[in-house]
Amino acid sequence: MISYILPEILTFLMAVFFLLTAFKKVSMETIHKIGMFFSLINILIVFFTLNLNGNFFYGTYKIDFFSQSIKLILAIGLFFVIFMADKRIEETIKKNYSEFLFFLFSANLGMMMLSSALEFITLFLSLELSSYTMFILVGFLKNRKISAEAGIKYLFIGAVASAITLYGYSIIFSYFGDTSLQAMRIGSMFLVKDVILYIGFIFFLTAFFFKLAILPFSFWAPDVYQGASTNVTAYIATVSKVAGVAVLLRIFVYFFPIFVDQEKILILISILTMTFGNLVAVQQKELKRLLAYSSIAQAGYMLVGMIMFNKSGMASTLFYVAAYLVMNFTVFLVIDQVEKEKGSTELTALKGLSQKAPLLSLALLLALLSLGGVPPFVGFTGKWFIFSSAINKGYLTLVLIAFLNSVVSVYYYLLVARQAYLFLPDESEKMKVTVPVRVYSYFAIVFIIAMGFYPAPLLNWAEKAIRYLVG
Amino acid sequence: MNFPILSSILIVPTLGVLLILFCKPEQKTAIRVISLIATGITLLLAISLMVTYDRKVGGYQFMEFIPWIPQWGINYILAVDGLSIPLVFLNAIAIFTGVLASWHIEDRTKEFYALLIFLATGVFGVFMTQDLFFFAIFYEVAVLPMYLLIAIWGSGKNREYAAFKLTLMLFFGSAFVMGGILYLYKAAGLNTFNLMELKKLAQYPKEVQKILFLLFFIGFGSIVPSFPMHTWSPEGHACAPTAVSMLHAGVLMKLGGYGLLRIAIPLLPSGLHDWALLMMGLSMCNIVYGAFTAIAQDDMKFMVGFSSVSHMGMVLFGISTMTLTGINGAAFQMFAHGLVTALYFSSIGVMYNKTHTRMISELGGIANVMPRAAFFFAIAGMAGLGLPGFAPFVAELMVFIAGVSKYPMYGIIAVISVVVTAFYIIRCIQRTYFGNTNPKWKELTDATNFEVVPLVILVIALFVFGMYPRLVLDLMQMETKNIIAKLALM
Repeated sequence: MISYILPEILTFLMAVFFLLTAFKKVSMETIHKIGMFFSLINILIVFFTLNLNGNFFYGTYKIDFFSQSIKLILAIGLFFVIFMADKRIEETIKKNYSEFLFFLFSANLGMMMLSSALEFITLFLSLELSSYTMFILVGFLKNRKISAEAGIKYLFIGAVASAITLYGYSIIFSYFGDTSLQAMRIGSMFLVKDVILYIGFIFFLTAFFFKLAILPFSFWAPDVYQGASTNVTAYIATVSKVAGVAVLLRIFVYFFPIFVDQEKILILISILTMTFGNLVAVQQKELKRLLAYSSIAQAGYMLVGMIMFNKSGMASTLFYVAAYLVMNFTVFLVIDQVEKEKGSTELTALKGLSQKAPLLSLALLLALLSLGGVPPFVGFTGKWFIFSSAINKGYLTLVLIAFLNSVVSVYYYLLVARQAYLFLPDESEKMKVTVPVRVYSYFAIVFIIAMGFYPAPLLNWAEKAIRYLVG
Repeated sequence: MNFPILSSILIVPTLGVLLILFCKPEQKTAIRVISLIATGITLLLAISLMVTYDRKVGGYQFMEFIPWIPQWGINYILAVDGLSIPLVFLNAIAIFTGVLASWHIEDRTKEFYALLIFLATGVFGVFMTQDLFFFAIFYEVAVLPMYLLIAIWGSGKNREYAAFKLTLMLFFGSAFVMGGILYLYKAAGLNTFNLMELKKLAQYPKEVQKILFLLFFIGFGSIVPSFPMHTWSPEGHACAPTAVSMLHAGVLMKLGGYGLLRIAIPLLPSGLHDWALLMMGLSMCNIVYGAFTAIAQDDMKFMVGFSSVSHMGMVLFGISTMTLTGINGAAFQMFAHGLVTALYFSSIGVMYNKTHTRMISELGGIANVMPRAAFFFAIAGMAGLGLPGFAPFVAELMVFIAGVSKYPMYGIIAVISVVVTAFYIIRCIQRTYFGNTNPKWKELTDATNFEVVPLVILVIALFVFGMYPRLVLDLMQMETKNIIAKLALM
């Protein structure tokens, strides 16, 4: 059994290790190296557990290809985020780097458990573990006013969302009398449905909609994205979304007889989410705020795939999330590099990037276009799969609205790319780009193009994972 | 397996782009030579396609089929038929002469050539693929680099605005195309994006055809460009650098007509019957409004841009007649108009490099100092206004014959527009190239031999296909006959 939950145990031990080193005076560089090493080990271990299968702790914890694939994505995401930090990071984080990593690993642990939890209490506890560590991470830059404000805002909205979820669950519990999702899954097929139960389930979704920043629980996004340090923002925007999608997929699969009746509401929510995100993003002058609104819009697209309640829709969502991780992370990496160079995350900070750092700038351009759903990049292919599963259910209007939405998004992504390509830089010297960042940029460029043109490997993986999830 | 000639047409330019990306920005000559070689090979391949295509057998040839994502019905299919071969050839000639015409570009040469050839590769893909998924990919690849090409290397104060307008309007159109393609896939219920199979097997109910055809008409119509979605086009032409204008007006606008003839009409014949009158009405707006607006333009590129709007209206007009002559004329008009506008823009480009203005009112007597540039613009003008002996004459004649017999009144209006065209072109030639030489331009030198090369290639092509249009028409007719057969069944 130990081998099955080895990734979780190791992540826990690593987190404890960083908690202990916080008492010692260890330099940031050393901790950083250890962190990189640990997160690489994490990826390897998860990779070896990929094909294990089992139920543990009286059926509350499930290990299968789906949960382990999600854990693999989470581990890779964690590695990316740690990899972003270097010695030019903010002073507060530099001083308390051990604690920073402790919280980061704990958050990841929570999310890993989230993808395996099969029982409500486990699910809720892992959700809270990941959320509370995130609240702290967002407010980590305690000397900076907007960071503290963002932390508080995130905490309050998150707490309210969790409370609503609990309330929704308590309604559901009164129908099933059980906390096991498996038992509820069977029960929901035979239950006589009424309005109260529907309300319970809609409330139940709240905390997960909060994590994904789906309307109406998306109002934290811009402030939190702007306030947190850029690597934490990248973590929220990429890794935490993956976990959110994983849980939502499980909930939608398990309780599909109930949610299928509410398809119209969910479709309306997805349309509102993407339209709101895209329209507001057009006006933003600050990169992280712009990306916050863009990520709201992206969550809308992801929701479209999930609420089709068929295997192809869910598989394409998983495909899209994996692609989204790379695309969005690339954008944040470039923003982070620029921020370290110029100390600003305004749109104009990117001015002349194509002259100062051609490689970074190309990676940024491709990632942005890919986010905007322009072929031949992976974002387009992902959207194509999502929308074709939507159209298979006959939602032509939804698909047209979604495609028109991506036209709007191309506009503001081009506004960003425009800064990098159309203007000459203020200063002439080239930007220093470290070797790992270069390597990552090459990787991102190849990934975004190759997976766009030949998506079969990633898609087959996603379809396999969904087969296990549906079981 | 035979030599994969179609894949080579895609791979050679892609390799060219990769090689260019690995060059240093300072190695400008190397970059230019690589581009020239890559596009030269592609042109040779395209010519060999035209020569070796078996005209007796007809249908799809040179087929390449690789299963791509079988469970989603996506395959990598390349094949060409009589409709696509002339357009592949047109694109090859436009990009080859385009590379030659932009030899003088010094600012960020590397990026310029990489994007230009990337764009042409996308267009090749659109014309050759027979799978709707790949069609969608290539279709937007052909649009995407336009933004950067116009915004960075364009001319004029408005270039960024024009670039944004062009990109967004084309993406707006393609949103409908994408939705339409997905709905085609769903409504056929065959789980395949294979266009050849869909053509053979798919049956669409009349109501579905009506909706779907409208989607494709909006989508492809905005790139044709059909009135009222045409506004991106003159502005985009005017602000783009020479080679981009050539590709853009020469080939990119043909994607719309091609999409209609390739996808929308064969699959949705009853849809065309439903919307033919609307199409005809809008095409009349194009023809008449475009021609009259062209008269009022002072910028030569704007004038050519509006004349393109007017001439592309002929394509829609031809299609809307739903007769063999009309559709043949429309298809041939796409080809002929491509050559003419490429010649227009390259000859304007040669002059603009020296004068740095394209305002008709500021020019005058240019023929005295730049006789070569004047000569080629005059040839383009004569071809453009439909002088017999050049390719557009044949195309327009066919459209008019079909138009007058189907919609007598509107057909006559379309014919009259030729007079307007003759008026603004001859007036432009007279005011720009003849008359007293403006003392400002006394010192100008004429185009060099090297600059003339692309122009000569284009003139030869125009003349050959004008004197012997069957070279292309016979090819196209094999496919248009099938389209007519489908339309007649309705």
